[in-house]
Amino acid sequence: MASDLTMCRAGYSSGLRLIASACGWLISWALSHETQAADSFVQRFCLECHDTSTRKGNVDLSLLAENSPPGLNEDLWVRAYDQVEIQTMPPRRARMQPTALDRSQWLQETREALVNAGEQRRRREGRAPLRRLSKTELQNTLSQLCGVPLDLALAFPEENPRGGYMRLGQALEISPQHLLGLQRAADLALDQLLPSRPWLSESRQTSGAEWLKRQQSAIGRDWEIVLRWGARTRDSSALVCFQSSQHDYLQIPIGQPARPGRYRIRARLAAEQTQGRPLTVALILSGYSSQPDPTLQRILELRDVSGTGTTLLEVEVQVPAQSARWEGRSVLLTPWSLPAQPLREALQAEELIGNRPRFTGPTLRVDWVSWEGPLDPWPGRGFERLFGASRFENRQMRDARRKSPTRAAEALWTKLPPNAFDVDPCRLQSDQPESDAKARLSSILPIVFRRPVAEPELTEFLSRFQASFRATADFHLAMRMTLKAALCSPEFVFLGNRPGELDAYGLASRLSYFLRSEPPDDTLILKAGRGELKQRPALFVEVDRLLNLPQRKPLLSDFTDAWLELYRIQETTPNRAYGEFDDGLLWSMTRETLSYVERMVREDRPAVEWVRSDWGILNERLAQHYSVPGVLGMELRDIKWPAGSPRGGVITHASILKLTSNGTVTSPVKRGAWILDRILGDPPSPPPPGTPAIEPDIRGAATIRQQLDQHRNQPACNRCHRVIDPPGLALENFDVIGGWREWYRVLSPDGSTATARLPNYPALSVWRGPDVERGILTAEGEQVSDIREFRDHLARQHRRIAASLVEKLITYGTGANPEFADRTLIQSMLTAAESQGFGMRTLLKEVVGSRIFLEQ
Amino acid sequence: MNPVNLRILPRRLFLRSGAICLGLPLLEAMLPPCGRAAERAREQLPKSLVLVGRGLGVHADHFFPVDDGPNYQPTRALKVLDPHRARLTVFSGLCHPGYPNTHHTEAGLFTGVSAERIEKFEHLRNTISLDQLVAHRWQGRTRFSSVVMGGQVTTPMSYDAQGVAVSSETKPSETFRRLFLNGAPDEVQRELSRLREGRSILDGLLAQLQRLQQRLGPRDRDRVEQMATTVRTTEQELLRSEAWVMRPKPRVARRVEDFEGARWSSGQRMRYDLAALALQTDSTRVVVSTETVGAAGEIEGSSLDQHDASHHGKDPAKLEQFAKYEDEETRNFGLLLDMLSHPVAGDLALLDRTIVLWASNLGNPSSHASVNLPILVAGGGFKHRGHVRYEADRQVPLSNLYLRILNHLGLDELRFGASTGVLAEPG
Repeated sequence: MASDLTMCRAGYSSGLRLIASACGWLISWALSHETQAADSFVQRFCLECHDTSTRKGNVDLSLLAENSPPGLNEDLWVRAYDQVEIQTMPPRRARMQPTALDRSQWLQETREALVNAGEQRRRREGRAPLRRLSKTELQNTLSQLCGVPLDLALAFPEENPRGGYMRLGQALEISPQHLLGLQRAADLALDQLLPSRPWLSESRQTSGAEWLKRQQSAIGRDWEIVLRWGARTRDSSALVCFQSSQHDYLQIPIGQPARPGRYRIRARLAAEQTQGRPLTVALILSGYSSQPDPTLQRILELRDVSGTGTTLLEVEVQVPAQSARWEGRSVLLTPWSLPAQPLREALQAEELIGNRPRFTGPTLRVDWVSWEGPLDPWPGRGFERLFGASRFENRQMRDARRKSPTRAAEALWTKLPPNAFDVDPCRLQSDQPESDAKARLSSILPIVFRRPVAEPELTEFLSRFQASFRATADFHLAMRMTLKAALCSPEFVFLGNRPGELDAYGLASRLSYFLRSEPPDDTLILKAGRGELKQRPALFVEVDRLLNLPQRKPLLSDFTDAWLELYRIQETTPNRAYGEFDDGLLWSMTRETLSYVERMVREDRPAVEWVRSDWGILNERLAQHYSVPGVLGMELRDIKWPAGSPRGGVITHASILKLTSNGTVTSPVKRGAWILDRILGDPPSPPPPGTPAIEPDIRGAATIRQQLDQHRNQPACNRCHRVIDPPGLALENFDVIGGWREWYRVLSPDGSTATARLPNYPALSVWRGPDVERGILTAEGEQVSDIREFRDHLARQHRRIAASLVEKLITYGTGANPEFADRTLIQSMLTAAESQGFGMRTLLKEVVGSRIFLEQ
Repeated sequence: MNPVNLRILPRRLFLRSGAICLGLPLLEAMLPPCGRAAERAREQLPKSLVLVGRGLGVHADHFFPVDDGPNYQPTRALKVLDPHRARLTVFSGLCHPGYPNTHHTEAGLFTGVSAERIEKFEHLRNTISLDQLVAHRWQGRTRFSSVVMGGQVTTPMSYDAQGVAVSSETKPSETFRRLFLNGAPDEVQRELSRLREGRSILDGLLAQLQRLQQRLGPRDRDRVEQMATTVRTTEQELLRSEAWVMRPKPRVARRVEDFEGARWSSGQRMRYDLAALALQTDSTRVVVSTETVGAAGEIEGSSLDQHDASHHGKDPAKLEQFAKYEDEETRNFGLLLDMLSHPVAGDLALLDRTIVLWASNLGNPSSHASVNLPILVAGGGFKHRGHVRYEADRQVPLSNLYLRILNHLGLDELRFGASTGVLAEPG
């Protein structure tokens, strides 16, 4: 929700900042001929405006003039270098102008010095810092280890966007909160890994009619039940739902309460009275959610029910374990696409009690719903992997086993009463604690640490076990404690190693967290062990394999979140004037973007399609929003845009248009800055400090465009805003939720405001305001009429778009921003990818195969 | 055992009741009623701090009085608080200089982090917030070093020394449980062994960090060194928790049901209630309560969401909608001051030793302006001055007031956030 019209008073941005990265390598700096030349260049051409006393634009370059090596004040050197290179500095009107030779000589010398400085630092310290697993990575890693999905929302502190999303090593702090959070998370994982009571996989089927009967006994009043849940069919075999709403649903009572794990949900459903159109049902996870975006987190699946015949729905869902106070989680099925409260009055008027309503609107018939699970047999996937055939039982099971050793394991506990495990829980058992512990630890620790474990390290954990075992004489407790220590240890929590080339295991981890946000799987570890990741082709085989593995979430969704800032999608809620906005649209727009990125990766689509494409991925809800005919059902599918459509590319996605708006009004400044930063890789400097905010006055008739024009025409503001505003203005035809508009909606109508109807939302009437003006002058001086032409303008800069993307991939993949010394390498990656049109998969491989990725 | 009324409480009964807390069985009710001894005793009474953080500012005309000093004409918002005028100072013209005009300055409201660290939220590098600094210095004196409750518009407001957001308890019922409900004996025992286990794990961590250090470059070695310090701090924290875990929590005449089903406004009141209870029982001396965004229909007559209404663009109808939320918030805040200012034995009210700060990061929510912030300080034993005005042009840092608060609480900091000095007010 950044301020809309932030007016700039100062002439220059305050972009150049003195960040003294004082490193020891000052010592190694030899005063050479080059530095002296460089100094004189700065003195001759820069200091007139940028010395300590003048500090024009708040930039003081005197630091660069005093024989300072580029290792100090590196950022300042780089900024100066860039300005001189693109010839914006010294300004044309300056009295002293360097000759072309002066310029190129200085550039070359500075470049060499900066690259040298970077290389030296890299040798000493490594390019990327040691980094902690981000919260998402930790959650995925622990989930994979214990074999049960975990929800760490309440257990571990939230990341700040800088560290958590882009995974910058420097930003992923370690505070006492993290250390304690880590212990909570480890406890949660171990509780799931070593479940105190066994389970059987169960399955239940409930007919629609039975389900309704249950509600009747709970509520009692007939018409209310009909309204909230539906009615029985004439033959009493099924349930018919009339409406959807936030609170009413078919609760699928998985267990009582639900044990975390994988479940299979099945249902036989039919869409009736829909004239052949499909209906959509949603599977939603019930229970407490501390997620900032409950709508998006809790929808497990949206599935379409065919408009003809019956549909057999089958979905596998995961019920996560979380450390919150128990609130009983289950899965809900709601007739998502039925209208909320249709004709409530009409139904009531029919005196429903005792009568069967004659309702002619669309309904969903539910023949039956069933669930099955947990799909993993006790003691679970994680246990199998880490403990294999270790004995895990309670005393009663042990006694039963001793009595009749040949009985099947299951027979040992299925007869026990459920509360038997409260007082006598299952525990790891051992007759030779010392040797068992050693055997187990030497197989578990390498899995936990994602690499082989050397003898001294094993000994250390073994002695932890021994100490704990001596104190408690309890094998189970001692093992659990030792594992908890392993899950809290830096070897588990940190990624990173000594400066220089990553070892094979370090590379395997980096690669897996980069592409899948997960620890490396067994195949990858195996290949690392065989040294197969050393060769580029073999490494790329792994890239392809990891990208092609089935995923729960869309491919690279964590990266997309960070790169396109999708995590901000719910930062603002649109004004009530946007009556068409609903959860379905919110969910769909986020999915559209994630699926778009996924297809870009799968098919190695060219970079130009980030801003212009003739295809898109839509469902019915988005198709309505975008006025595209003929898309039925909520499942996303590929479509071709109709000729002349303003859509195509992520910049016209409703999600992006929403998250770059201010909720109530669009902000060309915010949108422009977003495109410059996220797509073109050239973030504008923030407004100079002290820039006053301009208070919007919605009573006036001035459009945002008129206000911006006025602002941009002030010389002081022009320098930045002639670049920031055009991309934003090109998107002015899209409203705050990404709908197309030819005119503005009025939020506060007066007597003379006219109403209008929206063609794609015929039921909605809005207040019509002034027209959206067209015609934009780009920073490059090109006149474009609207978004269609502006897309072409952007598409011509596809190398720049690809470069920006590569930089973001590097930051995300290595945990460190690209630095000056990486520039040549980035250019050569781009050149290599050019023949593929800078395809997304090609770029991913170029990044992975580069020195930047292969070295710490 | 029946819940006891803590206001009139013979020390012996108090001790017998088992409600005694480590370090502080010293409630006003046990003090001699008057005289010098009373005064000395009063000075020894622990001070406390309550921060109320609000993400949506106020409409300036509804808040800032026109005239300065103690005899100001109360504005719409201050009228509700007028009974407390003698214990209030209203500040105008304060800000965190250089902050951008966005909602994200919420992250800096209580930290006063220097402008360049917050200028782009994506690059936020926060520093410790006022509450956590005090909590850190006073840790161990009470069961909880701080109680942080409530929601936010965009970002949390409480940050630890590493600039990591302190998680805020959003459910009042959970806070109540944590503060006042004792676990069953075996739960307590489990908690104790969990804490001990935690300490032992941290202990082992130090050795592991040392080994890790050996294979890292100098920059990472330094970071690992800092982590070792963090590990030691955390160990201390666990050790202190161990000291408390076996002691029963204080009993209060409230039930967890009283704190369930929180809505926007009732949630505010519940948090204030909890704040008062927590201070009365000396469960903590630092409380933070931060506000969420009210939704349309939450309070009578509201047809717009609070955030929507905050972008009123000077439209009178929207302004009135916004004011409805303001009225509700100030009314609730008034209730907090009421609760804290009930005179107890010896004429001493909690409010007289509790600094209550009510603050927002936005001076004008309609434009997201981050200057001329609405700031109110109540209680704490200050000699309050009514309305204190600084010229907005001077950009007097709010952190200077924070420094004043810190010093008043007995923390001899020389700087806080981007402070440039220390405010003389409130007197």
